[in-house]
Amino acid sequence: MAKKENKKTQPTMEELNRELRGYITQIEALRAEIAVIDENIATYRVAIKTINNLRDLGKGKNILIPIGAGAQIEAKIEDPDRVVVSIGSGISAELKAEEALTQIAKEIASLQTLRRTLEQAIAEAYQKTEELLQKTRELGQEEGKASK
Amino acid sequence: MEDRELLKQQIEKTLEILKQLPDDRRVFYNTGVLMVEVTKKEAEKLLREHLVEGPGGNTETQGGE
Repeated sequence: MAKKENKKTQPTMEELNRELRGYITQIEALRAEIAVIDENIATYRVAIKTINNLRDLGKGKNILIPIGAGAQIEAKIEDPDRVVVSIGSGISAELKAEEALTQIAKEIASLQTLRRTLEQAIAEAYQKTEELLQKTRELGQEEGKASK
Repeated sequence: MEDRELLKQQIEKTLEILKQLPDDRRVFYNTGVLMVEVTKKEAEKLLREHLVEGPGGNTETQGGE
């Protein structure tokens, strides 16, 4: 009777392994999401650098705009203090450079908050993985003893 | 959260930003590979249409069967 109850409450090696694989998959997915966030943050930082550099260089500078396939087209900066920024849902709006920089800084901050949340989730998943590994080891030892 | 709900939230956020923009700011609408300059009112109308139809909008071809 006691043996039967024990079987019910204690997970089997297969169940532990399945759960372990689930956490590993979760960690991999979270890591991939963090990589995407990092790429986005890097893109925003490039935008900040570009806005600042263009403002420093001033009006009338000739620039090259990439149009794909390694080709570029020449253009002139009319006003480096006017920046068109995406505000979501397919709409972009003209902002003053300062406003655009503030908007970008906000986006970076919110991405960093999301990144921290994901890192926390990874740490928790690691913790669960460690616990499951420990349980797997213990169960392996128990099964080894029982088979002797 | 459902995709539809996320889309609604994003559109509402965009409408809010649009409202706060001073009237002298230019607004552009991303259609396919082009950015078309639109008025604030037109942008709001387009966003409200997105709320009803989804971002795909009108994809019907003229005279198509």
